[in-house]
Amino acid sequence: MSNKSEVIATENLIKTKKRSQSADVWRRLKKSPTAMIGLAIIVLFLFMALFAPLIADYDDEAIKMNVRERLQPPSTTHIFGTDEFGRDIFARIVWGTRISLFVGLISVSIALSIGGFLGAIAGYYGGRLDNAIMRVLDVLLAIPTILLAITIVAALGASVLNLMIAVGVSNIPGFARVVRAAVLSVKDEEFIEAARAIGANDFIIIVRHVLPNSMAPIIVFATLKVASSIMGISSLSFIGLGVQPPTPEWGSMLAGGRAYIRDYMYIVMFPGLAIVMAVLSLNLIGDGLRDALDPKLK
Amino acid sequence: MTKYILRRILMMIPVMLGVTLLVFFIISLTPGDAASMILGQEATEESIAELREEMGLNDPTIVQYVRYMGDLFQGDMGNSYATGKTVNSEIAQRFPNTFVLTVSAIFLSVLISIPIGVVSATRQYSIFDNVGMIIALVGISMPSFWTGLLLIIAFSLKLGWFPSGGMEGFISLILPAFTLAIASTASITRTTRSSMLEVIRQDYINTAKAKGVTRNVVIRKHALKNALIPAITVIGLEFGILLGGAVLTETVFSWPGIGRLMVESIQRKDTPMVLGSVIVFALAFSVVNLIIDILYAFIDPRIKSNYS
Amino acid sequence: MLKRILSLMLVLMLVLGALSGCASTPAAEEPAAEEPAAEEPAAEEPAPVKDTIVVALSADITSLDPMGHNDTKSEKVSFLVFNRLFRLNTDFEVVPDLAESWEQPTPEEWVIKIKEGVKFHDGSDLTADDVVYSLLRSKEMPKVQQVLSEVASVEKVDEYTVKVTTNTPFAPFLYTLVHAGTSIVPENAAPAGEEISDPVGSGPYTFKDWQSGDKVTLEKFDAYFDADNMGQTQNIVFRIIPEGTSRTIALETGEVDVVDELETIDIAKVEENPDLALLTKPSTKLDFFAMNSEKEPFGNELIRQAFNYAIDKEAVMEVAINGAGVIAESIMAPSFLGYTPGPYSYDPEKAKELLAAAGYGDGLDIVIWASGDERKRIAEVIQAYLLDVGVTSSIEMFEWGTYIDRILAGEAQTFVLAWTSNPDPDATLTPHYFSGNIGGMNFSRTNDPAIDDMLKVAREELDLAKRKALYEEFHTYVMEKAPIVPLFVKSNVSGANAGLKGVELSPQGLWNIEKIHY
Repeated sequence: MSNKSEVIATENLIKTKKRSQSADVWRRLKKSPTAMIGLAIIVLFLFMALFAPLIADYDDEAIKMNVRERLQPPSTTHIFGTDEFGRDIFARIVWGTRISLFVGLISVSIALSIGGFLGAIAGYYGGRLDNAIMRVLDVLLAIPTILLAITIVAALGASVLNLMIAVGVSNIPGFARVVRAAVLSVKDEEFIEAARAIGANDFIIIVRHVLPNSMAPIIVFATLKVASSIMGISSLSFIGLGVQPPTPEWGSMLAGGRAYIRDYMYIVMFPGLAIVMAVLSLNLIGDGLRDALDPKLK
Repeated sequence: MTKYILRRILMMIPVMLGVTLLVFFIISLTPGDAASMILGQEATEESIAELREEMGLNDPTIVQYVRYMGDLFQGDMGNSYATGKTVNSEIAQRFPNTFVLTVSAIFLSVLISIPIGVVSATRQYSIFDNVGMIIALVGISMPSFWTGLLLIIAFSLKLGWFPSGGMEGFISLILPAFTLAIASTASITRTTRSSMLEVIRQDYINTAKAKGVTRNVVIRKHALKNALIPAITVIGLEFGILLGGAVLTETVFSWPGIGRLMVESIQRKDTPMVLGSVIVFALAFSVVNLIIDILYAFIDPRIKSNYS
Repeated sequence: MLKRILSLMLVLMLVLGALSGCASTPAAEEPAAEEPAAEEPAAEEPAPVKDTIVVALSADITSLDPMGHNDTKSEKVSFLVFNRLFRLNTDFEVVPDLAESWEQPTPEEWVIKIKEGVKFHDGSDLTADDVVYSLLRSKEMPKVQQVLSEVASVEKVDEYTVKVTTNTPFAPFLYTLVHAGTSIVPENAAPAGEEISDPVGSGPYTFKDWQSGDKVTLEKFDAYFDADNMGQTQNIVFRIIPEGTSRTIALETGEVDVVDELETIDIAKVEENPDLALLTKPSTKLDFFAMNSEKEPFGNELIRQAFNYAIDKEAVMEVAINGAGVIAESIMAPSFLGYTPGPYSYDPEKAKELLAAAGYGDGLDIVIWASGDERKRIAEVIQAYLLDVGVTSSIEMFEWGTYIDRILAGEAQTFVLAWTSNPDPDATLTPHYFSGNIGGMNFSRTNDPAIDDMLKVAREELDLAKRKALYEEFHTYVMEKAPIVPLFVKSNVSGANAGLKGVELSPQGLWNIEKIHY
């Protein structure tokens, strides 16, 4: 009985610690104007993604070609103009928010869950297991991320799913290292010792105690990686290995419209700006979070 | 020191072996038949079957891998399916171009980002700090093929300052190197800034200040030197990003490098060439990181002691 | 400290810059010739005539060996460095190149006399031995072996005469001799299976240098045998510029003189620029929508005809290639012998009537296959027009290799494809419509004895006028049966500096490049 109560007590302690810590971080984050601007833009994009169906009709405006209305400059009917197939660019950007953010988030989730798992057990157990895992990941790490992603998509074929796998897999080693480092930094702390003393098994310790307390740097890293994944996907689109048409995705809109850059600047300007704003915002948030989490830098 | 260097070089061998294994198997998943690729659309079934047998394409992947490695150890990366030329000669011709481009980009990027990082740190939370960081971040937020096209339109077409592409001496290097460089300014700026911040607060800096040394001298003589150490590591990691970025930049600027070779080979399903390019990329990346690690060990002896 | 680092970096930058110059040393042998040339157009004073023409290509050549490739980029180099026995003019008619005269003692035998006094770049004479060697080598080189597959034997008759025997009477024979794969190389240039890497030919230009992915440099051959067709400019440089927008910009800034494949969106820009000239010519590539006659309901010709009326080809062409082409009205591009347009025009009412007559008045549901970006776009436009006549369709996408395999296996119901033809009509028509090629390139899986007979007769007819009439009849008959919906024929579009003379296009793109000069 007493054991259990201790576990609960420890958990409560971590929870209160977490709460006060996150409140503290938020307070500091609020002081950074750049991070707040970034956050506002990302929230706006998330709203766009969420309410896309209310803003524009997918089939009629974002997908359906209308040859008679192609390459129209921005106007009141098409506020961002129309592309080379007569599709409304605004509608495509709104719907593209879903794909671009979704692909970025899912691929980071893949990397985070696999890389995180490997990093956590490597860091927690140390020794030979650590060595074995990290040497295998060194192999992945030796290939520049985007080149690995290109190779994987080239082998599997270009589809939204394969893109997420490719970008996800190529980000595994990064996450593994970050999580491993984070775990190493907390694993000898007192509350972990306490949990171990009361006989909690390793899995519970890692999931309940180690990870939540080493979350901060991981969140920062993940934020930055969502940004770089969005960029990576646009690069893949340029090579013709990105999201395939007619699915609206910013990177492929940009890559597909690039021949029109001189006469119909708006075709590439708006998706380009969407990418820049999303990636920039995520980076600003990431940087702000990093500063807020690192008391040394105050 | 020699022992440390040797150790690091030895550690590279299993990693590079792993890279070849991994890439070989990923690429073997690519659909499409090498023999019909070599012989073209109009080849007969028999000649394709004959060539498949001759090339050993009917063997299990692992057998093909062992054969490939056997050749690789003798310095032979095979022949291109598309052109029939040896992968070695093609890479030997193209890699130096990519190397020149990426290394120039690294220097440009250091030239831009270290001053921004230093000034940002010394004036933390000032307008300069915020604007400087945003500028650096905008750099990594722009898809490089987009930036490249915009730069060509502005600086070649409208202003006529630089050639729009190709490789004719120093002048043609500037636009592609700059395009590539702005993609990596952010992380170097970021690292410089935060390590500067850390160093500035340390005791010896305060001591120096107390002794009446001016602010600028403190920063130049004492803080910067120590703050640059972490920045060097980031430069090594950024090299990988630059090598990846070269894939796009080389296409936009018709720069005859290995990145473009790799993309074209992927589009042509030219497996030996793709394999060769990726291996060379990984090797270059590893070697640069090795050099950085060794430099680092010279500067900061604590690292070395972790290994030996 | 900071200053020292910065200056160190500047020095390194300069060293690297110098290195990048060094990397291109072989080509830098004549930088003096090239660099002032590139800046010349801006100069006000009467410029000296440019002695280097820079031609922009969208992709690198694959081989210097004329028998080691089968693509239009490498062909451009091979055509300048080598001669063939015959060549095509810009209207795609066969004209003699090295051949002096020829006759046919029997339907299977061709006796060809070659010109005397032709020299290779190394100074040696081109004789019948070289011709025999080259044609036999061609039959064994993997990339081009199919070109002379009808040839049974090649023999030397005398020093300047050869005799070629074909397996069967083969009217298109002379057309096969215009292919780059039948270029004449010096005897024992390289055994079959090995590539020629330092080509020695007899053509108007000699090979200087190939920087992979960057450029190919050729130099005028002063001892060329044909004084009327001599090279006009001292150097020709092919520069590889993969990105379309960059190609146009390089033309506008004067970095290149000719762009072989101009991005279609940039046509207006080149047209409006007084310093530039635009050239267009319909290609030999036909984009079409194919219907598998073995899959219901496409066995019914009324349905196939209805589809020919239902699709607005102008709209398809606008979306696919920015309108840079001509709409297609028959099974081949217009440049071919015996071409005759079919009877269809865009007429949705007529399409509905035909569908109703076939028993599908209340609608029809089909599947369209496609692969790749451009075909997908084409399929989407077709989908929209079919919907207007009550045909609903879904589009399925495939990876290219799978796509072709499954189409050849007859699994597709309808699909979008393009075909680039060799100059002789038979090289396209027999593979596409002969019943024996079902499972091969007979995409519509047409099985019609009348078609088989017409093809066979036309293939063996050696009289050109009669052959032309046979193909005219063939076109009319096939279009009546409507195995495909021909969509459009893309134009080759090139841009050139307006000061250039002698720029010519054939249906295969830039032609007779040796004639280009300022």
